[in-house]
Amino acid sequence: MENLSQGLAQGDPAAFAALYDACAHRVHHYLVVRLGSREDADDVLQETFVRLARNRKRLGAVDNLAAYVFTVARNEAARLARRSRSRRAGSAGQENLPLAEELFCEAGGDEVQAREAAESVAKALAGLETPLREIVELKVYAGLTFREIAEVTGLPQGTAATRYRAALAKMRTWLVKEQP
Amino acid sequence: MRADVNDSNDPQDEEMERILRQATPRGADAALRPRVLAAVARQVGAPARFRWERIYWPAVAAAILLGVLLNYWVAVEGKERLAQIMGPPAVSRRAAELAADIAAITDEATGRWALERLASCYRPRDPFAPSGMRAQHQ
Repeated sequence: MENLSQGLAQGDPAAFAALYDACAHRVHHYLVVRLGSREDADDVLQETFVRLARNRKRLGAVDNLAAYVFTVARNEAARLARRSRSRRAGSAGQENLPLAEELFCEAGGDEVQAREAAESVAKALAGLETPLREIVELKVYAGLTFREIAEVTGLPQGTAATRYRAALAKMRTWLVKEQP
Repeated sequence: MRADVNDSNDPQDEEMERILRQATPRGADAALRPRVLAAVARQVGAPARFRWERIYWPAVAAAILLGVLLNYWVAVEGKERLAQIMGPPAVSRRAAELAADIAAITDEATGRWALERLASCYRPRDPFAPSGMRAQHQ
């Protein structure tokens, strides 16, 4: 990982390709959950990597690359969300939630049971408030530890863990209610 | 998923995590990879952007220094122009009286010499002279 950091700091294209292969899919999924659109997630993922390339000298000193990439992606997503909000200023700011097919492979598949399960998970995720949904996404699908989630979100580690458990409880309640 | 210090051992939470993990996250489309890596290559090849914030404080310090120097230059220039218009600085009354007393006791030449010497010591108040020197001149 240190070699990768050094390669990134020197602007080595192979190092950026390796970083992309290591975390782009997880970051993209996180961005779709946050932004509610695959097109926006594409743009923000590209902007994230461009920003990493622009500030590549700093990457040599980064301890946890994955957490750093997620932090940059989160900031870029927040920037895009601010721009979108100011564009539709005046109209009611309805949150954009992704469709199940945009989030999970099974949701667009032929297997009915798997598709319904994926749709239920997407709906349960959509039922959460944004801060809770973000933590579930980072923990379950991005595979970050609570320490890394705390680094990315700026929350204390204990708060992240508490919010995660609260989110799981809410989703469980929702799933039991919807699918008794 | 990696083990974590804050992980709950609640079987209900574990069951919920299992349900969530059954859904496979859809990652980025394959077409995005070359697009992103091309943008990265363009950024890496681009010349370093000029960063204004790097020269902000030196520029402020230089502007303050320039202001002080210009202020000093204007003061000196104004004083010289005033001297050209008004002639040489006046001799203080005390110095003239002292020189007249010396001339009365000695002779006219000694009196003029004394006046020249006293005039150089008893200049009228210089607003730009340091306070210690100002006190000494008075």
